[in-house]
Amino acid sequence: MKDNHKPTGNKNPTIQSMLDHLAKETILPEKIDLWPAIRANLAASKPLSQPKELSMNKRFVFTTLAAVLVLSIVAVFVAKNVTTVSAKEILDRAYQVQTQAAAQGIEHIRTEIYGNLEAQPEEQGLYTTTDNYLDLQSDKFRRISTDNQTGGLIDVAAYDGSNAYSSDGTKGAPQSAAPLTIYRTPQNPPTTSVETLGNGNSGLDTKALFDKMRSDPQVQLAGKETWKDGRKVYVLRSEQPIRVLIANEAQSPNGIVEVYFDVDTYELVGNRVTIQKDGKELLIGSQRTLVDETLPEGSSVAWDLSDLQGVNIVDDPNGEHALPEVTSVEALAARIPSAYLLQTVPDGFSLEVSVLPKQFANRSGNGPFFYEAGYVNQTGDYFDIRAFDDTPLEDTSWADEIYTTASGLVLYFVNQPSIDPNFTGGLMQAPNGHTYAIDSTLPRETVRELMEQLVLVK
Amino acid sequence: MTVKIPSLEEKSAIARLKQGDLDGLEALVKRHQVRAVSAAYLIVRDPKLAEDIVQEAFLRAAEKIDQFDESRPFGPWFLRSVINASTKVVRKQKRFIPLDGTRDEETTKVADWLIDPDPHPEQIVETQETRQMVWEALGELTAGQRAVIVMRHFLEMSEAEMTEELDRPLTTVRWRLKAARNQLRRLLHFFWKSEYQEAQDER
Repeated sequence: MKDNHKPTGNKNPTIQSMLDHLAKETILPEKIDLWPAIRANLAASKPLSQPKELSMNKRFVFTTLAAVLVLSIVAVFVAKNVTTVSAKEILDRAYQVQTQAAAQGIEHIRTEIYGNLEAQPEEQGLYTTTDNYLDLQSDKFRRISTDNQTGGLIDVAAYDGSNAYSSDGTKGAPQSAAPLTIYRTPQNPPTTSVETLGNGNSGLDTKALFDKMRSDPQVQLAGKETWKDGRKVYVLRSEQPIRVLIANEAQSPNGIVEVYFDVDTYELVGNRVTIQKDGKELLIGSQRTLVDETLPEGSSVAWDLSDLQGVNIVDDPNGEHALPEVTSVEALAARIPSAYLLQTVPDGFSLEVSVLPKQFANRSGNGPFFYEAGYVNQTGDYFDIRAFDDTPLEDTSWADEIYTTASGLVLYFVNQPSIDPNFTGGLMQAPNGHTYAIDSTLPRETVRELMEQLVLVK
Repeated sequence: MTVKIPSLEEKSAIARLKQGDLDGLEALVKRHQVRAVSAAYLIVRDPKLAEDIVQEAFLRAAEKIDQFDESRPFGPWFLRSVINASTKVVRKQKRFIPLDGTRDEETTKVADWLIDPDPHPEQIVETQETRQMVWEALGELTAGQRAVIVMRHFLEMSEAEMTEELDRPLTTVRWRLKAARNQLRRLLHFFWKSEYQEAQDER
């Protein structure tokens, strides 16, 4: 599809290649054969007239529901000796429910969440309630998270159609009496909407847990529960590795995951995740959907957050609150001791160090690590080093040269003549396990020499 | 999706399908299923669900084949329906939030970059790690944004074709891309130099 309609935006062969790879990693062409299922489906439905088909479907649904119900009741009595069939049927029904998408209206979901990913003793985690609205047509959204204990706002994000709102960089102090600062930036697309939040890296969101259950042959129907609000739910249980942070170290012990499904609608309505620690069951997290409704299109929702009390909305037309800040070497050393700098600034060059105002959680849990140090001379030549990742490189097959310094730094040069013949760059692996990106307009020989001058900031 | 003119084989398949010959549909399935499942998978991130969506899309296509102008290529028409269906599924699915209430901002940065990448792409090295990052970033995008990425970079649709599919005015699509680029300048400076310098220049 490349001919008459020439795209005006940027295409990117790197992304294209990555998407191709990502798809091919899972979707194996030789294993895709949809035709038998499609043919069977067509064969099954063709001879039936519409009324008969509906009748059959209803009967099937009734039978399935009845079977699930019976199996559920049996499950209560036989406790752990439940068959996996009943659990599978519930999962299949729930899966079908999830795929029935609402196309319009305003989705409103309120969820109570308990999070204890640091595996602290019971009740030391944080209970929050998150209220999400999403206009399915316009992508307007608002998400308000509050601390259940204090009632204070923790995190706010919204998009009103022309402004993006974000408390990024100001959250994390639920006990503080200071008003939450919310930055308003015109014409920013919504990058944080309620529909994107199911893919966090905690691995504990309900959808992710549900997906794992679907592929777990050992999942069990543990029974039925009646909640305080009168809702009846099926409880499915499985054992899954749970990612937690114990003593600042990421671990993945096996835990017990329970996912709850509404008995009447088969919708996912919550989860509960526990692990064993010191011989005791420890609650790592839980979620319960308190409200799940679709409001009529055009319903009144304060997308611009004008209804919020105790907040300070600040106009940030250029989104500068998220721009990197120039800082001093001393400040860098105090904040990011894993930063590497040249021992001395080369003659004719000046140094500028910058860090992000808000440093985010990294994979190793070792604190902030993103920084950039740029050495630039009058003619525009530069040598840049910046944090790339806090974990070692796994794949270095792309490197066309590997250079190791006397101090043990390893630079994997990358050959990129297509963009700039003068460009020299690569990724540097340090003994601390971190990875750094280096790029420069200087020739490789000079870059190698500069590499020998890199030291941890002090 | 590099074929715009329907091949004789495809024309024949559609004609046969219009006459009720299921062999015609089989030919279309064989021809388009892998691309379609791959595109759906990149949006819904579940291979089984992707297959289900594509199956359904083929069934719908068979039902509506009488309305299809066989002088046009089947692929774009069909793949657009797959993208639409995938987007709807994601919109319904992704409603639960992570327990820790936080998001990986590195992933968010890559997500922003995906929305509107810089014209100096090669400076991001394609490694297993960056691919994983892109995969995670895709997961952070809204259904609509993911659809845009897949249509533009995977299915190689033009902006005009994307606009048709997104059912949004061209100006809206362009605005979204422009706004995304502005955000990119703020957030992505660690990934390559030129964008960062532009951002600095603007300050």
